[in-house]
Amino acid sequence: MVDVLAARRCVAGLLVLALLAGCGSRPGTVTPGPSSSGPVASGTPAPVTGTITVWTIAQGDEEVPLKAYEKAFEAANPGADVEIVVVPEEGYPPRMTTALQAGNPPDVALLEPDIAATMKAGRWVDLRPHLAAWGVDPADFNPGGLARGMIENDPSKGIYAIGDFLAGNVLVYNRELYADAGQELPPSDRSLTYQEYDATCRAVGRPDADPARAVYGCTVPDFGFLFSPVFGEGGRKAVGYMNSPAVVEAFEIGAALINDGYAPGSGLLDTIGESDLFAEGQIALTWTDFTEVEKYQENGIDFGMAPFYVIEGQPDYVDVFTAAWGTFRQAKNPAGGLAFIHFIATEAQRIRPTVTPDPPLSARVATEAGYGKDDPIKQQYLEVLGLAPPPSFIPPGVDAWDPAEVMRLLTIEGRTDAQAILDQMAAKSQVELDEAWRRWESLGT
Amino acid sequence: MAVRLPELRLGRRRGPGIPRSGEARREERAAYLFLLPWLAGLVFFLAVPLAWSVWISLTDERLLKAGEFIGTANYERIFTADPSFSHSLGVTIRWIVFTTPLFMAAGLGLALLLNQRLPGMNIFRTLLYIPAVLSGVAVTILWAVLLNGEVGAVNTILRDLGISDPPQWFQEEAWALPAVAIMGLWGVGGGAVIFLAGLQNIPPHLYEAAQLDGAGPVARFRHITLPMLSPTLFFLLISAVIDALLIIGPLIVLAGRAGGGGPGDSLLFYMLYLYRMGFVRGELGYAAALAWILTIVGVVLVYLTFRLERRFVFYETE
Repeated sequence: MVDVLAARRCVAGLLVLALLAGCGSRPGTVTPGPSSSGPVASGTPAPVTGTITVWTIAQGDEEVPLKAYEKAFEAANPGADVEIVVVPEEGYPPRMTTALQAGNPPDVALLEPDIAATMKAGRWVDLRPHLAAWGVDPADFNPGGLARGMIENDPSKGIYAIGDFLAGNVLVYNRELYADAGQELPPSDRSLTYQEYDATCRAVGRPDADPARAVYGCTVPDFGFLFSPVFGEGGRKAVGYMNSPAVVEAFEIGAALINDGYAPGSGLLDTIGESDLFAEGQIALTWTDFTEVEKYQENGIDFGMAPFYVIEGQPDYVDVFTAAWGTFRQAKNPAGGLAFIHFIATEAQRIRPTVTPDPPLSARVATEAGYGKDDPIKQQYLEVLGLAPPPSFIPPGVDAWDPAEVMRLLTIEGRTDAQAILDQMAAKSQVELDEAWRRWESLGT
Repeated sequence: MAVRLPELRLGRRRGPGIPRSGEARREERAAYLFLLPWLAGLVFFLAVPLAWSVWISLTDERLLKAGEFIGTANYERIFTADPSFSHSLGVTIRWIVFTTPLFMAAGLGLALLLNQRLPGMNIFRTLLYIPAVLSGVAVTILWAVLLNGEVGAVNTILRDLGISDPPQWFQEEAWALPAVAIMGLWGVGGGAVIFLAGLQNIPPHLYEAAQLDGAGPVARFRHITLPMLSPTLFFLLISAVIDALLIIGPLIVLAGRAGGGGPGDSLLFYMLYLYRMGFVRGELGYAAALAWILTIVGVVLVYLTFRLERRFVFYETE
């Protein structure tokens, strides 16, 4: 026998409880205080204790450097337990933003470009006063690498994360293939133009319908077009830049190289990457990051490095980046988080080159440690990285700008109207760019 | 004088104010105690989130910024200023119209084959059901490799058969959706097993009687199998429509983590677009409005399907 009235009272009671629970303080809301920098330490932080959670994306090398940092940090801080959590790269942005929304972020995390808006929203600790207190000078660090931890690449707006190494996407060429073709090697002190890239690619490549027998003169990665000046006027204009004659010509050159068989298509590269093809001696000139160098050396490839190719009139370009670590205002162990960041900015810079081929982000530490001394490959790498220009910034959310789609239309779909495609893309991107800036500027620290 | 009415065994009281025995009250309290976990779950994990999503659909709530009330602005934007909404809804509806009959016909065909009394049939049933229990992500990656335009096994075979310019599948706008359908066909074993259960519940005497009357295989299928299987067909139709509305897992693997929509946005299904707006762009309020529109579309589709039930579904007990 069910008492309907009692049932109603029971459900009503539950609803009231639920509403009261929902009316509590909204998780994830951070009221901007007078400073987003947390308590300022003076000098080197004292040893810390407790658990320090560190979120990272999979680094592809079983996180060798991070584990080395964990060991060294725990040795210097007995009583501290560094807990490394590896999050799949695809899931990192939503997981991080929802953790922040729930008011439950880790103590330390990677500040990836996809979550740059969380910096603008004031969730990360501004490291500037801490760096000053620790005697760490931001000017020692490569500006391109440091940019990942800054708002709009502007240090006056805060430094929210600091990296432990300097990496770059550079061009790598096979000396033997160039010698076989009787061609001059690409220069390492300036960027080739698209036209020069096209010429060298066609001179060295030996197309073949069988991908196993082809020797590709070069590759045309979709992301390479991201380095072109497609946004102008402080990153606020797409029309006139994205569909400029120079950008259109760049796409036409890239598509022709793929259609004519001098560069591999995206279908092939989905199954075997450029670095593997290069290590097999099947590509004469392609892009790489420095972690693949060991593979080339093991395969006996005699190689050199050069900066990325650019549009005519564009300055020399190298894409540099780092893994930027920061801590949060809502961290459960704020002292531990800051101590770990101090470690990244100092000791980790010295440990990194001993466990990986990468140079530290700090140019001063790289010089002091003699990075690249007696290693011509590393020396050439550092020289090429030195050509990296200051990065430009556009806010996230401009999805219409899609170089991969342009290349797909020009290669797989067989279209030949690059100008029309880019005119349409520029118009859509302009609308999204205006909205993206509006959303970005509405976030406040 | 108050009339004391007998209480029905079903527990229905016949009037107010009639005192209950202590044992009845204890039974009632015990019932509520046992129901409490489920009721609490219903309230905290369903009712409250639903109410919250209705509320935030009326705000400009974002992942990184508290929302303010904006009325129906999100809904107005959806219907007047968002071409991706109509595009994604179109892709989803095309998917439902194209694949629902295909998957059901394939599942039924497979079940009819599996219903034969042949040696080793249990092994076939197991093998054909295996794809349904494999991880969706692993299956998607497997098919992405098989259907790779340049070096995939499928196109290699097509070229060997003389087709010099086979489709580029997931990279070609016209073929991306059919490629996902091919991937889905591989997993019809799950539906086939349900059809098989339905087929095996059809009384054999109906087929015997029909055979005695001279009915051939086609007539027996049309006048016995289909009507007797109609409740199963109806259940699977509803499930297929709901699954098609909610498809997202394989698409994220295929189209990219940033909620990309595949070649020419040909794989920008509604749920993928909703995910992009909510978790990539961080516009939770807008995504909540999209979710409620999807709910309404789903309710309408299920209602229309239930209208079909009266006409086409035969229940043996009727």
